[in-house]
Amino acid sequence: MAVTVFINGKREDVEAPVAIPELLASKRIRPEVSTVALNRTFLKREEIAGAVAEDGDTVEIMIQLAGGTDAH
Amino acid sequence: MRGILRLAEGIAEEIESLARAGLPNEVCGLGAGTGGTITRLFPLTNTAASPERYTVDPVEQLQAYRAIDDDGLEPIAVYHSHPVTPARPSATDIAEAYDTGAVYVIVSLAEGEQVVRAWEIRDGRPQELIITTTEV
Repeated sequence: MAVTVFINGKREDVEAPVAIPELLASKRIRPEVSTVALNRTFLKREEIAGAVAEDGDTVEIMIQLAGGTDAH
Repeated sequence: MRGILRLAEGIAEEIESLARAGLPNEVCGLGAGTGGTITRLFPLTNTAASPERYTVDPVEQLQAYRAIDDDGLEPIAVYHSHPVTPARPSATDIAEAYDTGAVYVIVSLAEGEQVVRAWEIRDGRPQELIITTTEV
């Protein structure tokens, strides 16, 4: 009973079922800077709150990559 | 104790070359490999297309991670360039280091700078890693 989770490409397994908001919280990932795909389908932001990953599902979480140079 | 980031021979030069090719804008991408050594780069589009910012489209980000996995590699670091400033995390880099598990490689093209440096950024505090070059 496991869900395969990729967080910025790094694989791990978590116990199924797991609610996506709980998964994000347990990994200290802020939803507003992340994008989530469940079984290779991107979730709309409003879909995340009710999404649950079941046994055998794959969750891909992309944490926003961004940065920049300070004004000079 | 400082951590270590291992680069295969030629990777640092390749990052610098990509950074020069992307001027005047910042460039960004992923470094992947096996056994903790970066052996291959996966350049990403800087959607900000700016000399002072980089952002990545999550769809392209996901495709890169899938390509890395398909090739039997593991993601090891995120790289980006600083065209005219040093290779240390800027205030923006620190504020936007949302992936606390990431290693950030920064290449500077500023004159007189050490070209490639690597950092972990935890709780707003950058910690420099030692870069070593490994024959693969």
